[in-house]
Amino acid sequence: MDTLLELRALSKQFPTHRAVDGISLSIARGEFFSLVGPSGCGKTTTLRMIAGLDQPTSGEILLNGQSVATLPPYHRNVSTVFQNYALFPHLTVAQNIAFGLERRSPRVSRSAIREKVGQALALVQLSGKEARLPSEISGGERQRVALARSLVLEPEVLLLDEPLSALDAKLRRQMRAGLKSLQRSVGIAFLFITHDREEALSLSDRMAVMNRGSIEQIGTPRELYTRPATRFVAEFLGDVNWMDGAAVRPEALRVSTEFPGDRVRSQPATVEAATFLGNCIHLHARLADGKNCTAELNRMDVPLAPGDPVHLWWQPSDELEIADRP
Amino acid sequence: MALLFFAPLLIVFAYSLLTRGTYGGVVQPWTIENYRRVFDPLYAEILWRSVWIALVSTAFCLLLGFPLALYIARSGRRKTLLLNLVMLPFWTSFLIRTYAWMFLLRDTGLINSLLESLHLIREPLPLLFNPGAVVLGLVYGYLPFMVLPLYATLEKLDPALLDAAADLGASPWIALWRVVVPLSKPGILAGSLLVFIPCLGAYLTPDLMGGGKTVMIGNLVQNQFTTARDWPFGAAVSLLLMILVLIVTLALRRSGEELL
Repeated sequence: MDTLLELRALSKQFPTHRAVDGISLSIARGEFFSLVGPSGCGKTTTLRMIAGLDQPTSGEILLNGQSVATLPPYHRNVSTVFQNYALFPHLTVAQNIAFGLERRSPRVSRSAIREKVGQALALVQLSGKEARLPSEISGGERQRVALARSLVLEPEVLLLDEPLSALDAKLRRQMRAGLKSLQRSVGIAFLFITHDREEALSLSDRMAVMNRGSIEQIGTPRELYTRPATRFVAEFLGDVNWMDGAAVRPEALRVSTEFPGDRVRSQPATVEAATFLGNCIHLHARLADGKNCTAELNRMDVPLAPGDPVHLWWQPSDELEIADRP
Repeated sequence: MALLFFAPLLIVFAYSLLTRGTYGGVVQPWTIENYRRVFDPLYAEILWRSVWIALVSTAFCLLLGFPLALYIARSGRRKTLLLNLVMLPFWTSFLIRTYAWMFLLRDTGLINSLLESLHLIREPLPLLFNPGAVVLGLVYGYLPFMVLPLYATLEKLDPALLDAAADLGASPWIALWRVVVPLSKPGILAGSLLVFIPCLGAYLTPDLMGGGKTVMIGNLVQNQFTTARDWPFGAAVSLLLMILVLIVTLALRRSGEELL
């Protein structure tokens, strides 16, 4: 792996709690890497330390093999897209984007700045909005200005702090695809922070799940989803059914009215409800030990009513091998 | 309400158009002679000095008040305490505070005595009874009026903007000039008005700290209504002062709206 950014045993201790507890990870050049976890897990603190806005208590941050932990944020070749975009309200879109370029030394000529700003605007499809103020454009447009403002500086890594969370659901989905294709076209490594598992799963080349200051697992989305190392990762990335000690995803469960045989694992259950969702059916059932489970079925050949006895079965290979069980 | 405001104004206006009585007061005939006298070069000098002193005092208040307001806005839990400390002088009479300064600055005062006893100077420094002392007195008295509006604006500044500025390559100094100061323009404008206007019409400070040698508009008006017993002229000058203040206020408000 062509390692671009490396964190080694990075920690941040606040007076009241340990926000980041000795995390280590590597990000490759040009990679879309997500750091995902619930609020308060330490992902934003980690991002701020990489950006230089917070000082680590211990550990190292290496960019291209060189330690940057002591460098102030204005000397690091990383750029941040903030959660609420932090656009300068007194500057126009063009002036916002040009802000970082004007700080460069040696000085960038005004014509060169204008050209780069134009290119950046075209990249995020905002050409023509140069003279607008941030208050005069929509939330989605502001997000794109924030992206352009950071990308125009051609950083080695782009840090994105929950950039989509301030948008409504529909816009968020639209921007997701746009973000992915943007990353591919500029080829810059993206470090994407989010609490939304769908975003992380759909966008990342690789991702890390964080919980209470530590990293639980790093890998590709598929690896983390199908072979979660811990119960937390399994339950964070999707639903998990505990079938008599085995962990099975809803989409791996099948239903049969008769005993399905010994080649597969199965559990008897009683139907509680069958919810038709259009493209799939959620079958809620109760197991013998009283636990609830949900199966996600493409269709139901035999109509099932609450109270019906069924067998829920699954392939043993679909079981998640998790070390810690409830 | 409007009556309370306009009635005295009308009275002053009427006075300014009358003639002085022998022992004070106003008599007929109606005349605009008072207004003509106002533009006499002697009084123009007083006007100019008043504007200049008020401007310099406002500038110093801004220079001192901005860092102070910035410090308070960033001081977290100590904000309330620091704000109260800024307001503390107002618990004492302005006259007494001015006398306190005179006690410090005069030839036999605290500062000169201290320097002489340390053999740093041989003769007392003329710290009092000059325009500089007047500016000092005005700045001291009106600094809180600059600090509070500035603080109000600075407190509302989104800290993420400073993070963004640093992230984009701006050193703290550049971030101050390119982000903090432009965004605090409303506070700067409000504070400047709140300091400039009273300074323009000041009469206590120039009288005491200036030793009567630094005559400002306020002193002139006060004089007319007391020693000189020329009420119509005093009325004319005070109306002129009011018009001047109105012009400055409107000009600053308009340019402030453009800037915002």
